[in-house]
Amino acid sequence: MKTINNGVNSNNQDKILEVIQVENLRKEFNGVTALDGISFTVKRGEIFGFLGPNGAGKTTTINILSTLLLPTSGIALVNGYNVLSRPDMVRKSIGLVFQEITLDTHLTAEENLYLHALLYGVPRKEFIQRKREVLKLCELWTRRKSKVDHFSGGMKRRLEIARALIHWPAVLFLDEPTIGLDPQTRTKIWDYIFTTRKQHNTTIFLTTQYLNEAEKCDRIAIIDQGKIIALDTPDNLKRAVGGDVIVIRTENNDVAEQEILDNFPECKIRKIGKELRLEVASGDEFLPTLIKSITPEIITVNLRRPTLDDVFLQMTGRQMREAPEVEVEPIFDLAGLLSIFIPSKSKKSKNGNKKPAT
Amino acid sequence: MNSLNNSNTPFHRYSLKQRLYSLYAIWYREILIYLRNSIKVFTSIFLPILLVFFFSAGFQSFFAQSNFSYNFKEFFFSGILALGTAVVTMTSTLSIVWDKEFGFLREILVSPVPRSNIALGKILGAVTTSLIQGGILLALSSWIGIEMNLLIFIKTFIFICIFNIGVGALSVLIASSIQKTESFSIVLQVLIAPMSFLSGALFPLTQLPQWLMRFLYINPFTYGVDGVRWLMLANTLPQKTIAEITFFNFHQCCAFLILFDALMIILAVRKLR
Repeated sequence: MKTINNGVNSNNQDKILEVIQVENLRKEFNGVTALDGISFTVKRGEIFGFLGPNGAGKTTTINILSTLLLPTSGIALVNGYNVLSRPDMVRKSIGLVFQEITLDTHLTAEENLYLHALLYGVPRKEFIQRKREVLKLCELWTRRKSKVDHFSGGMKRRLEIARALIHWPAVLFLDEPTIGLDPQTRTKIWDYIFTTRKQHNTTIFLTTQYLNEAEKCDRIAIIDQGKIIALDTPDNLKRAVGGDVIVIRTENNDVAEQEILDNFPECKIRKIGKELRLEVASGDEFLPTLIKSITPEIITVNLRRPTLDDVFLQMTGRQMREAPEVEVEPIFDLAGLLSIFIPSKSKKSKNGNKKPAT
Repeated sequence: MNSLNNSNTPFHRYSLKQRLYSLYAIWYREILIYLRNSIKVFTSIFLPILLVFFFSAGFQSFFAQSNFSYNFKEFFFSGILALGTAVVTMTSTLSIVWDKEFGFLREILVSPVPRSNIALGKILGAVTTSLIQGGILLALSSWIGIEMNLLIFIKTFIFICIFNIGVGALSVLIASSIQKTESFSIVLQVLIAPMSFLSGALFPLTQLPQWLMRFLYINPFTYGVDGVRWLMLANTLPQKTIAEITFFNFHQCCAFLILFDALMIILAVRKLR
C-alpha cells in the first residue's frame, strides 16, 4: 500500500518517465483484427488523446491497457508493469472511466466512492479527506448524499471521474468522457481534466471522436482501422498538412477542377461531396487569383487553417465526420423469424456489432 | 521494474489486508442494496410469518381429524424457516445479473480485487440477508409454540448458515451464466418451485411415488429442511416423531450440505474468475 500513502508515490515506479509503453500490440477477435500492431509511449503527466472514428480500436486499446482484455500479441506496460504478468499492479496504478456508466445507481454518490475506496484498499481516514477533494473538484459536494439514480448524465460522468481519482491513480483512462453531454458540461469536464493533471501530475489517456477536444491534448495519436496513422502534438500534425485549406463550391465543379489543375498544377486538390478542397501554401494571397481564374459561378468559398480533420483526411483519404455505418436493427425481424423454419437461410451473422466479451 | 521481455504468466500478489478489505467491500454493497430496498426487507420478513398463520390456520382442522403425533404449526414453521431463507438467498444473487447488465461488474473487474473474492463476497452477502430473516423467524418461534433455548437457537442458526452458503453458491453459479435480469427470475422460479415441493417443508414426504423419491437425494432443500427440523424441534418433539417427519437423519444432512457447499463454492469461484 506504499503507492497510496500520503498521496505521493514513494517507490521507484514514480521515476518511470514513460508511464505507458506499448509495442506492436495486436488484438484479434475471431479472426477480425481490431488492433493491427500499434506502438506508442505516453510520458508521465501528459494528456494523451486517441482520436479516431467508431470502431477504430480505441476502446480495445483501453481494455487491454486496463487488463480487461488479453492482447493477441505484443507488449503493453502501464506504470512499468506488464499487463500480462502483473495485472494486479496495473489495476492499482490506473483509474478508469468507461464509455458507459458503471456507477451503482441504487446507492448515493458518497457510497459509490466509499465502495471504490474499499475495492482499492484506501484507508478510511485518507478516504474521508480524499472524498472531499474529489467531490469538490467535480462540484458534487452538495449532492453527495443523493442517490445516483436522480443524477443527470453530466453529473454521473463527473461522479465517475471523481471516483476514478479516489486512489491517486498514476494514469487516468477516459473512454469518450464527453460523449452525449451538452457543450457546457463538456467544458466543465475538460476543466477537471486539466486540474487533475495540475494537482497530482496524473497522466491522462483519453479517447475521443471530437476533433476540437483532441486539440486540447498534449499529444494525439490518430487511429484508424486498428493502426496508428499519425502521432504528434496537434500543432505539428496540422503543420504537416501544410499551408491553408480552401474549400470552394461552384455551379460546375468538374469544370472548375479542370481549370484549377491547369492554372495551378502545384496545389493539391480533392473532391469531397459537392465541394472542392485545395491545400495551398498561403491562402490569403492565393484566394483572389483563384477566384479570377474559375469560370463557373462560385457559390461558397471558405479559407481556413488546417484542422485535425484535414490531417485525418490526408492520412486516410476519408473524412472523419463521415456518417459511421450504423446497422439498424429492425423492430420486427420477420426474416429472422422465418429463418427458424428455413434452416438453410438461417444464422444471419450477428457477430459484427457484438462487443467482445470481457 | 519489469523489463520488456517479461514472462507472460499472470502473477497476482495480494496482501491479507487487501483480500479482507475487498471481500468486505463486495459484501457491504450487497447489504446496502438489501437495506435500501425496503419492500424487500419487509416482504422477506413478513411473508413467511403470514404464510405460517394462514396455512396453519387452514391445515390445523385437517390435522386435528387425523391421528398425527405432532402439531402442524411446528412441522410447517420449521419447514418454512429453512425454505424461506433459501429463497431469500437465491433472489439476492440477482445483483450479479444486475451488475452485468448495468456495468458495475466492470468497475469491480478493473479494481485490484482478487477475482475469487467477487464470488465469495456475493455468496456471503446473499447468505447474510437470509440470516437476517432466519434470525428473526427463529426468535419468533417460541411464540408459535416451539420450545426454544439459546443453545437450540445458536445451533439452528449455524446450520441455516451452512445450508445457505451452498444454496447461495449455487445461485451465484446460475446468475453468473445469465445475462438478463428477466431470464434470471424465470430460471429461479423454475428451479425453486420443484425444489421447494420436494423439500418436505410443505407436506410430509412419506407418500411420494418411488420415481420422485430419487430426486430427494440430490435436492439440497430436503437436507436443509430436515436438518433444521432435527435441531429446532429437538426439545419440542420426541426424536421418534422427528424421524417420522424427516427423510434424512441429521448426520446425512450435515455431510451432504458440507460437501455441497464445498463443491458449489469451487464452481462459483471458478465461474466468476
